[in-house]
Amino acid sequence: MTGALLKYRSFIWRRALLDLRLKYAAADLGVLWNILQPVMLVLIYTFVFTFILRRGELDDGTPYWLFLCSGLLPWVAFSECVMTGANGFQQAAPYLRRLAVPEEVFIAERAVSATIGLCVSFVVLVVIALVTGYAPTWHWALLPVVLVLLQAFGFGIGLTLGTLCVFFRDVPHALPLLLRVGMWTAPVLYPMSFLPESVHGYMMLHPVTPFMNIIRDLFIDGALPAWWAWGLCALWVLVSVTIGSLVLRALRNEIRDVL
Amino acid sequence: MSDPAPAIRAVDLSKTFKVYRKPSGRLIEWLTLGRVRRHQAFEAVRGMSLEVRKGECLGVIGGNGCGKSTLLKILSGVLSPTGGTFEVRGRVFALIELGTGFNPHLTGSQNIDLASGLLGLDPAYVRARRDEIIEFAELEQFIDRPMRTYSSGMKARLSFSLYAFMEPDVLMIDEAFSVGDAAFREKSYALLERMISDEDRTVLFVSHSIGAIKRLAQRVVWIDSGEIRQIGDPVEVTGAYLESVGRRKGARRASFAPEAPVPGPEACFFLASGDDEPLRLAWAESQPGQGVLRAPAYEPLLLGAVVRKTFEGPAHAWIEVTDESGALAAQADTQRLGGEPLEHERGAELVIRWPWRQLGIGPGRYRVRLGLRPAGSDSRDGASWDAGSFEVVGSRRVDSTYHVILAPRVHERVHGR
Repeated sequence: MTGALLKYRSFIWRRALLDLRLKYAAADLGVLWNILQPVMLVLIYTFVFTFILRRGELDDGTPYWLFLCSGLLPWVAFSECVMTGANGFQQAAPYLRRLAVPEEVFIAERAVSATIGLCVSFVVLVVIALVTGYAPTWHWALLPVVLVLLQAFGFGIGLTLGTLCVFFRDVPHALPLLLRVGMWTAPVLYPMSFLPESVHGYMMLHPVTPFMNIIRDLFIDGALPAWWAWGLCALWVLVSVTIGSLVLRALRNEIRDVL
Repeated sequence: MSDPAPAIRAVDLSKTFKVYRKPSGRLIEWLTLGRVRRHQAFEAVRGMSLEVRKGECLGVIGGNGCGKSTLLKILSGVLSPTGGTFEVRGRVFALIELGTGFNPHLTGSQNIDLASGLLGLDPAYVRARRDEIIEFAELEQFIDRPMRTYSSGMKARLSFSLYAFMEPDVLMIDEAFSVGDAAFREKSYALLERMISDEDRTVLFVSHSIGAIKRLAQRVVWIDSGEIRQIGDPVEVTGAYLESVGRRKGARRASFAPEAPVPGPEACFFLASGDDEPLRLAWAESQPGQGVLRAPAYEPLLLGAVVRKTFEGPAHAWIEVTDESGALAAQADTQRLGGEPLEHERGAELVIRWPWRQLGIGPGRYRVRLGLRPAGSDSRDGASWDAGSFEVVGSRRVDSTYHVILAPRVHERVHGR
């Protein structure tokens, strides 16, 4: 699989950029929406939590909107990666039926475009943070690593679901609900300290938890995450991509028969 | 045929599709590890073996659903075979279906970039050829407008033009090129012919147009129910194929059976004539004074000719009616229809009549060619004559690619006795 992805890397990259352009191609502002969307999201949460809910700060004095957005933006990109991956083969059906382009290329293209989107939105968040007087630390330089790992994890899931979706059309309908459950059971919108110590162990079983913890460690606390937290993330990436490749390998020959 | 390095070699290729009545059937099979069977196997390709030499053009014919497109998809790498092996040497390009991969919101020019990525074209190649592509598509004024403002003909033209300048080692075509208006169609057809006739290029050419196949292919393979029925000389294979098509349309053929009543002489007409030619007029012209016979569509017509046998030994008579592009519209051959060979002596004059119960070919001008050949030989042997042309008139639209098999009646003419 790696071979095909490497061979088609420039194609994947161009198609991913195109995805971003096409997403809003019918709109007048076009590509600008890729930046406007995260800006508006951050502004809305800032406004709601600061002025309406008056829940301005966490216990340690971090502005709540900053905490929230640092988890929410990666989650949005991750779930986009999973969702578009799950529908990836259906979307690419006209091509798969006619052209000998390897299947995984179309899932990778979606993952890369979601990742580019994430980079853009996180840069927006960083800019807003700096403007509001938040001081950067050198730990921020490690953020791209964890964000890319999270997207790689999403790519593996997308690959698995995308393959299964070809044969079972129920999967895309169940997915939004499952993702919602996934979001609330991981520390995306709230810090783990909001919950009693007794459930922390269970939360660590959630694959997204270590990713979120690392993001917060780096971005909010300016601390270097423990090596085992990185290891856990890497392990999840390995597991999801391996499962995805195995499922694809087992069913590859039949995908184009069914589409 | 044992070419040391054929461009395409397929050995015992087969493709079986699993057909499930419900998607859950597959889940049940998985959960029971295949012990419960919920699918029906559909064998689209069964044990096909073939070799195509470098530079050769192999025509592929067969009825709808016979497996020719599946074969092409396997050889071009889109589908994977369930059995057998194959090998294709060189840069392959498959022209499977035109018009894939355009986005309506992008301009024609942007779509060229997008589609070329999908087709695996080198971006540098496309950049260098961009102007040629646009010019060939006749879209100079529209190329920077969004695709949604294009007519379907314009889209088809652009997509054809993308392929037009490619230079693959192996080209696979699945009748994709009937696009645009008549003028563009002619232009694209000429270009395809040029691509196909390149001596170094190996071509696999699937088409329903027997005329095109006969003109372009050096060999033809006839596929029937997923198997190779016949492979070899274009004239022979297409002839056998057309006959089987005629035979399958049983009811229609029955009306051309020799026992059927022959239309009256008012529907007869003559083919060509010449004093020293062995071919002579047989019946009075139905519409005297007109150069070209005009035959109304759906009316009976009798094609008739008197021919002189120019060789000894048993012979068979044949006739071919072709349209203006050279595509075969109707044909007959006494041998292929199971007739006895004509045992007449050399120099005998034979009256051959091809009664046509109902003129089931579309309006247009047709040429007639007929001949006699020694039994068991190719139709290009023996004697043949260009018998002139006639015009079918009528307002009703008939599929002009319909093939009609005419069953001839042959009499020896007692001449001058």
